[in-house]
Amino acid sequence: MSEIKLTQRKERARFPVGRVILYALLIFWAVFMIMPFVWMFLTSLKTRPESMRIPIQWIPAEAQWQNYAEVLNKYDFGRYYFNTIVVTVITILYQIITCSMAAYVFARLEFPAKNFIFMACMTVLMVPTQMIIIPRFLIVMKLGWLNTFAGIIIPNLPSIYGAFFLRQNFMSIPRELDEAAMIDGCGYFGIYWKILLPLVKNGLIAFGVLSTLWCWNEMLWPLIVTSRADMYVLSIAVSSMQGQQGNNLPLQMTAGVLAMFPMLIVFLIGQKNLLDGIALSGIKA
Amino acid sequence: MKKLLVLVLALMMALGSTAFAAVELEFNYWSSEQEDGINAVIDAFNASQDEIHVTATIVPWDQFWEKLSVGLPAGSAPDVFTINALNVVDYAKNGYLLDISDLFESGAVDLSKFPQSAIDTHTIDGKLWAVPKDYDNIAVFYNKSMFDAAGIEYPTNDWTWDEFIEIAKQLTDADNNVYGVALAPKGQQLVYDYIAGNGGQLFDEEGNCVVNSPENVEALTKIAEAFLSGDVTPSVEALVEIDANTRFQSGMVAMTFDGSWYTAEYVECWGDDLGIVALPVMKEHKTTSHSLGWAASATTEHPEEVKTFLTYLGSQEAGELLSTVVIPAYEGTDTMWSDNYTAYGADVFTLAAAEDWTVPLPAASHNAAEVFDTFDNYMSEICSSGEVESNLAALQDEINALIAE
Repeated sequence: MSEIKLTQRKERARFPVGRVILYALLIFWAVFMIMPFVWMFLTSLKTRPESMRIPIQWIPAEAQWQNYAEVLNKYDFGRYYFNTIVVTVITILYQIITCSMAAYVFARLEFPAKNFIFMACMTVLMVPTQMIIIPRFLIVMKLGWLNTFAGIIIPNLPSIYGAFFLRQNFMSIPRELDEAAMIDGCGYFGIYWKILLPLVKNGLIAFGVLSTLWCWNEMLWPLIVTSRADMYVLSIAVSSMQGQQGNNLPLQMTAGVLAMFPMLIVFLIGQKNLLDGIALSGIKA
Repeated sequence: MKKLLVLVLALMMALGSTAFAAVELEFNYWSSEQEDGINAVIDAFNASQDEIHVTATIVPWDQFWEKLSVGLPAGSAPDVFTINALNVVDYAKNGYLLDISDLFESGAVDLSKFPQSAIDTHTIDGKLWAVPKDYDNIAVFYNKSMFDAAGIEYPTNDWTWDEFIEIAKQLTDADNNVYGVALAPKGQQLVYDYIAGNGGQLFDEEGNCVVNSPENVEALTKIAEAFLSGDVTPSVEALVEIDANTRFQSGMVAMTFDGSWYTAEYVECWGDDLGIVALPVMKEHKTTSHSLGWAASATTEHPEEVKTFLTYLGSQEAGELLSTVVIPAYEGTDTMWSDNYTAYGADVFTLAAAEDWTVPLPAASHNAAEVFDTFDNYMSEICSSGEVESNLAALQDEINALIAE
């Protein structure tokens, strides 16, 4: 962080014009990214004809707050929130623990075939989910897990991406720390738990936030293994409001706002750590 | 304390036994806009008896078939689901659908009460695979205020294609991006209607594609002319950018050809300014009628209970309950739907069925969904290039190859 500030200061001294352009670009980009959310929120307050108008009518003539009442009355959002939170919390906790352990092992320990195992894991990362969805579905069905939390959660638990992401974080910490700890009588687990884990806190939080977002938004798998509305997660509930012909955009956007809101809070809380963690790992989501 | 425990246990067992006595059936559908009506039907059925309990779940349209095609071979599909013309063919031929012909033979579901085009839609190899649920067809929705502003009289059901083109030209103000009509270059909303309305066919008796015929060349030449004249409808390219539905709701076009399923939405948008009239006639009145059906999974564990449920779905009462959200297929309940919208002229949809203007949505005997999409792609090509004959010849070959696959 301090390095970035330093270069910025230099730039300001030398190139005020460059800085103006930089900010103009950043502001443009920020507006570009935020526009869909603004549109979503404003559309959630429109009447249906207002939502269809071209040129776009941005501001509804009268805010239709009853859209929220209608969506909440018609759909069991309490249940969808509960399902989504159960799925997300269990997945995140499991992934943070197992991925950080795997990351530590791959970053620090030496054992036969380590690189081979690591590459094998990375290869799996390249396989598109769609390819393994039918075999996975058949397994889950034979286990009798359709329409259960186990069916939704367990197949999505392992995260190779997480192990890779956190490995980069672990590798950025000097090995001397491990050695010092070992001399002081620390075992492998002690080094992992007491020395390194606190140091990769930013990475852990960053991974946690990213993974929360993925989990919260995951749609295809929960849809495949559930066939009852009481096991639906938010993403399915929102998309099930989409008709074959013609959409009620205001109601869909209302549901979208409701589904997105908790993630906005998670992001705002984790924002600083998220940026640091991603910068450290040297990769982008 | 012990007494209380015994009492609680006894109570739980009593509740449990009644809950477990009912056979649970799963029902999936995609038409979220029909939710209120469908829930009314399901609730009424559940309340009418205590042996069967049906749970209805909406599966999003985009994933509906993907999910069903995974679930049916695996045996985890819902017991009952809605099906459309494009999918019933392959699902029936693959043996995924429960044989329900005894319902019709025994008269449990009285087929004389359903329109022939709805029955034909779901009849594959001489067998009916679904209880007809509803029907739709195509008509012209128009904006009365734009007709008033231009001083043009509202059209009537007997108007011809040439009169329609004339009126559309008068309503067009291309400089201001206002057009008389937004024609979508698609089978269902335009081309199928005029293939039939001009005396042509898409498939012959054996199911071969015969789209390249003089009648069809004539009909499509007229349609392509409308697109290329520049003062009737926005071009194909412009319609990709802003579709007909959005244009009509934004007041950018005075008319649009669309299905009965849009009636409620257009009424909400235009209120008393909305008018509905039959499609303009080329040679004879024809309109494409599609129909959904209630079908069952061949692998259901409760075929008898499923048939009881289907019998109810084929009843007049179910039709009446559905009439708030869609045109039910059951005789006499369709006009209950149009009665809600008579002021706008929506009775033209039920009139079309009564007058036999309807033709079933043409579905290929194999790969129906792919054929449907291929057809629409060629229509875009024809309506933007104007080259009718060469494209129809290529389309016919391509469709026949898809059917033979």
